[in-house]
Order: sequence, then structure tokens, then C-alpha cells
Amino acid sequence: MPDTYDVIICGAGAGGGYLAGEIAANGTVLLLDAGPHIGAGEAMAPGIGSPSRRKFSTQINLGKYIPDSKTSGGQGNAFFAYPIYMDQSNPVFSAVQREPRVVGGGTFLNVGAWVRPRTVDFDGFAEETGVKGWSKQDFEPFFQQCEKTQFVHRTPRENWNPGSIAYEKAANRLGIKMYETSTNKFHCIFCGHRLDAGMPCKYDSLMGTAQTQIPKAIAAGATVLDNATVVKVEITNNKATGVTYVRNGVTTTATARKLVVVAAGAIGTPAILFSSGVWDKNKNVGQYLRAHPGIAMDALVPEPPAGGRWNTDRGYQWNCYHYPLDEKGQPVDVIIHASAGFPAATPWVAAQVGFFGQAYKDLMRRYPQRVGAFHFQLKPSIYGRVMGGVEKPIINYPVATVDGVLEPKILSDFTASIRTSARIFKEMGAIDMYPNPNLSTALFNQTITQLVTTAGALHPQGTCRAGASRTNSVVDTNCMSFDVDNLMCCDASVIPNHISSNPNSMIMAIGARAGAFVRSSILNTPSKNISTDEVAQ
Amino acid sequence: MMRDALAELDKVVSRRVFFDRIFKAGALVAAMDVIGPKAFGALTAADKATALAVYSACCKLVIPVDQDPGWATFEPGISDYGLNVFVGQVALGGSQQALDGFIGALVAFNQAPRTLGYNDLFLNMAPDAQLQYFTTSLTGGFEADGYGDVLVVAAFFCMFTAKATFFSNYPRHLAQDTEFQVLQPSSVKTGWDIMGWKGPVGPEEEKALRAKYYDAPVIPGIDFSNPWI
Repeated sequence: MPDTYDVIICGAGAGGGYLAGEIAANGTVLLLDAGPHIGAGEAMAPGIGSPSRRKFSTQINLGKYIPDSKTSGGQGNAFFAYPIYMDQSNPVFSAVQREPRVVGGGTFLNVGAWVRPRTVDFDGFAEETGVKGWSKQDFEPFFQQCEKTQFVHRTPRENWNPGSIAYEKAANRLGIKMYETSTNKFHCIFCGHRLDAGMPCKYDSLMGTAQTQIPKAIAAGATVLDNATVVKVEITNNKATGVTYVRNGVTTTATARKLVVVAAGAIGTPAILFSSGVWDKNKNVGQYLRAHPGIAMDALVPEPPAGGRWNTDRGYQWNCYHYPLDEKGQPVDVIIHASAGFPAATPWVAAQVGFFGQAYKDLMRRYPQRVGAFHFQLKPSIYGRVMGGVEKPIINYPVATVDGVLEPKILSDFTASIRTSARIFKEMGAIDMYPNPNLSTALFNQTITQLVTTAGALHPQGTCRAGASRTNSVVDTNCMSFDVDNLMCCDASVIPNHISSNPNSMIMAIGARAGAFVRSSILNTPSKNISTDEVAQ
Repeated sequence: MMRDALAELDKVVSRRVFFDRIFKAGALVAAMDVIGPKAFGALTAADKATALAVYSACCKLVIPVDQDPGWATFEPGISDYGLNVFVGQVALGGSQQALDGFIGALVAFNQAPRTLGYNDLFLNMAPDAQLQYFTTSLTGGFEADGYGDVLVVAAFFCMFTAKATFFSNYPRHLAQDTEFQVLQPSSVKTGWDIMGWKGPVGPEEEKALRAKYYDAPVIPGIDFSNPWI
């Protein structure tokens, strides 16, 4: 195996995996990932799948989900788990931030809801960092490209779950506009996976980089090394020259002739840059963390629709979503995913119902089938921070202050969104729900605070953000480091300001855009000019 | 080293503020005595045993035994699993520092009643008194006494993880090493049995689902009726 490549990519997730597929035909590429390459070498027809991937997806439940536990048999290596400190009033306590550790990254595991950012997000990029070339128009062709490669589509209503249909109908009766959730799946069996703690698609229908771009890269000659943990980027004379990684206990340094790409996610990328000494050159590394606090809402609706079941115990489908609106008709910074399965099918959500003792147990017996919705608060008015190198990074995301009070915008936005969902659930006939906006203000606020600070924050982004200047950013408009030549970041860390959606689509679009830049400006090969019309065909 | 320095700095600053807040509540000395050493990781084997006993007692309040099994029915393995695996690994991501913090909070939860009018350790209290103390802690009732954060964290996490553990189908929560999640035959009635959940899809059901949905029609692209994207 050679030890010199044109491009070395650290991380085979949504960003790095996508980029690899875009550039592998134009130069020699080494793609490193800390996790296993499930199904490598097997035919991976979506919806049919590889036996090993199906087995892996089945096993991502409580047992092997757990890193290094006595019950995991040492096989709990599918996630990085980082401590995240969210409540400044209680410094002895941290929640956990879990990031996928597998070739394909989050696109290999998470159920594929494909949601684009809002227009206002792109406007916010320039306002936040002055970055140029990050407008909605600039990214439109890349979103379209990704939606084509990932088979992004919607599901006709006849195959929605009953809870989503009932939720949409109730919302429509109240004049609340719902939108159809797109998904990156193929040959989906709607929906048979049993949720325990993880969220994989057991049936191989999920279309991520492991099924699309990475096989494309391998076919073009790229080398993929799994279970290879990057230690640091080698930097000589202010130029990235290679990557040192550990694989099977052996430390190796590979040389990059033209480019090193760090694509280890919004936590992993700054950690690698810390260990590589880039923080010494640019103190913005690890700063400006943004994330989405998430809350699941659970409702007790006595009468399921015709057919008798909500399909709550067989996984979840996010078929439709909406935003709560303010008094001016503008969206509040929360996205609400209607769901039948999620609230009731996972012990996590059943556990957050605010009762305990005999009352709780009776409730579980009486309402085994429940419906719900998942709320992401999209734009907290705080910045978090990632600290530390690759060995043990930690995260500060202080959503609760030293007084134990939740950041006001998170609280007010969640209050608005939960009230909106509560109206819809009530229209569906709900007799109770959790969290319940009819609680006293103090108790409601306490409930939200507890849920947010213990659940962690999802969708981390912005820790090596793109901007106009090294004074406020880490990379430029093309995701190239301001401070180290031949060094690029390509993942959620470069997002200049928080976006209003699950980040999957945005990260892949960044990967696609970076691919065009690398082909034309780094590898100096003709860049395929992707026009909107061409993609649409 | 830089990470350690930053982490330590943050913690020292945060703890200073934390204890300042407790001071304002008028219980600094008591709180330092109870949780101070624990917060900095000076845990003993006795502390860990006490924490497990406190966790177990709280979980028995959360999932009582009635006509169906409860937490006590699954003892002793479920408490060890709940604390060291579910809390330690799943909820706290394997962070020993965080788990030590929670264990410290549980030890404080046991000792705090002595200064809160109960005149006894939590573990020595009668079940009704335990239930009252647990409920008051959970709802932040001891906030003004300077113990609010620690007791709320202890009670809330006990409640949350007890429910999550029980309804994760313990003790049949681990998938077997097969393509399908095979559940071993057992006479133990689990949380799923109580909920009436059907459990994992087996080969025959999957075959039927595939026959029904394979090549099902889809609508290409995204929903552009959303005016905000």
C-alpha cells in the first residue's frame, strides 16, 4: 500500500465521504475513518443490503451501543461519546454527546430525514462571519446534486404511518401548514425496525455516503482504511504534509502531496486541529459551537384511527414537519417533526413522561400506543465550545446558566412550539401530553430545563467555521484553512452559523461544493460544471 | 495538556460560582461537607456501595411491584445495570468523571435528609418518608436549602433511568448475535410485555413487509411548498 497520496481525508461521514466520491477519479485519495467499514467488499443493494450491514444495524441497540462496557463485549465502538456540560449551575454533572464512529458516519446510522436549511440561514452566514459565496443560490446546485445521488424523495400518504396522517389532518383543521418530510431511502419497508436506543435502518434502505459516494470513490481507486484513528495532521513550514493515524495498534504517517482534509465532524475536527497545533495559530478553533437542543413530546390519544393501531411500537417515520409561527406569521426557530413511533417506541421517551410510581406504571399499561412529535430548537442565543485534543475532548454548551435558568430564547421558542403541538394533539383528541404547556409556568420551565440539560444537544456545527477573515473564522469560503496551507475542513464544523434543519443535507452539499473546488483548484483537473438544469434532468 | 488546563480552569471557575450560589443560600458549610469531596472525585468503595443502594431504593419507588413485576423483582442485577451501564455508559457516555459526580450526588441524596428535617439517612427512612423526600427533591423543593441542584439531579436521573431501563425490555434488552434481534424464551414478564409491544420484526414478518412495500411508489425530490427554504 502506498504511503503518499494526492489527498488524504480524515473522516468518512457526510462531508468527507461525499467529497471522496467527488474527487477520487481525479487523483489518488486516502480515506481514513476511526470506525469499521461495515459491508466492505459486499454487494450493497439498497433495500436488500449486505448481510454484515443488516446484522450490524440489528445489533446497534443497547448492548453494543455502549462503549467499552462489560456488556458490550468490547464491540461497542460505533460511537464516540464525549462529555457535554450544559448546566453551569451543576458543574459536577455532564450529559453525553454521541457521534457515530463508522464508515459513513451519521449517514450510516441515522434515519434519513432530509430537510433543507431555511433561506434565512444562508443570509445569516454572511451576517455572522462575512463569508462570501455561501448564499442560497450558490448552494442550490449542490443540494440538487446531493438529492439526486442520495435518492431523496417523499412518501405518498398511503404509506405514511397513521399518527402522521392524523397529525397533519388535525393541523390542517387548525390552519397550520404542514410540509412533507423528504428522506434518503430506497426500497424502504415502512417501517419495521425495532428501536431500542440507536436509530439505524435495519433494512438497508438508508442512502448515505457508505452506500453511494464511498463505493464510487473505491471504484475510482481510492483507498479506504477503517478503524484508523487520526492522531494529528502533520504540519511542516506552515503546510499540511500528511496525517498520522493509529490502526490495529500501529502508528503510521501517510504523506499528502496536495491536500489534507479534516472531516471528523464538529467535535472531532477541532479535536484533531487542537492535537495538530492549529489552535496555536488560530484561537477560533473549537469556538462558536452551535447545536440544536431537542425535546420529544409524548401525547395520550385514546382513539387510534381506523385500523386500530398507531404503529407506535415498530419504529418511527417522520412523514411531515412544520414550524410554529409567531404573531407576525413568521417561523419561530423550532422545527417540529410529527411522528407516531418515536415517542412510544423508545424507552428514552417513555421515560421522560413526568410521572413515577404506581401512576406511571398504570399509565404505561393503559396507553401503550401513543403519538408524539420531536422538537429541535434551531438557534440558541449562545455559543458553545469544544476543548481538548483527540484523546478526550470535552464540550461546553451552557444552555443553563449559573442560576440554573435555561437560556431565554430556547425556553421561549420551546414554549411556543410545545403550545403549537399541544393544540394539534388536543385536536386529535389527546387527553394529556408531556411536556404539558398547561402546567404552571414554574413547573413547565423546570421540566423543559431538565429535559434539555440531560438530553444533550444534537447537530453540532460551527466549530471551525467559514468566514471572511481569520479574526473570526478558521477556514475561508472554500473551506481552506487561513493559517495552514493545503489544509481543508469539510463537515459540519465549517457551517458559519447555525442552520434550521437536520444538518445532513447541508453537510453533503458542503462536500459536493468542496469536491468541485478540489477538482478545479487543487487537483487542477476540469471541474464538472454542475448546472441546476443538468441536475434536474 | 492544553485540554486538561482548559478543562480544569472551566471547572474551577464554574465550581466557584456554584458554591457561591450555595453560599447565598446559606448552606455552604453543610454542602461542602456533603458534596465537596465527592465533587472532586474522592470517592471510596463505601460511597459507591451507598450510591448503588440509594439508586436501587429510588428506582423501587419509581417502578413499584404490583400485579406485574417491578424494579424489586429484577434485583439485584437491574440496579447494577441501571447505575453502571445505563447511567454510566449510555447516559453519561462512559465518562468516569461524570459518573463520579452522579455517585457523589447520590451519596449527598442519602445524607441530606439529616439536615432537612428528616433526622435520618434516606436509606434508613420508612418507604412513605422516602417517597415524600424523593418527590420533594424531584420538584426542587429543597432549592432554598442550598441542595437544589444536587438533589434534583440525583432524583431526576434515578427516575428517568429507572423508567428507561425497565421499558427497554430488561432483562431481555440485548440483541442476540444474529441478523434478527432474537429474544430468548423466558418466563420473566418485561416492560415490553406490560406495554403489549410486539417486539422485533421476525423473518416472516419482514418477508411480508418487503412483499408489500418493495418498489413502492415515491414522490421524487423535496417539498417546495415550504416557503421558508
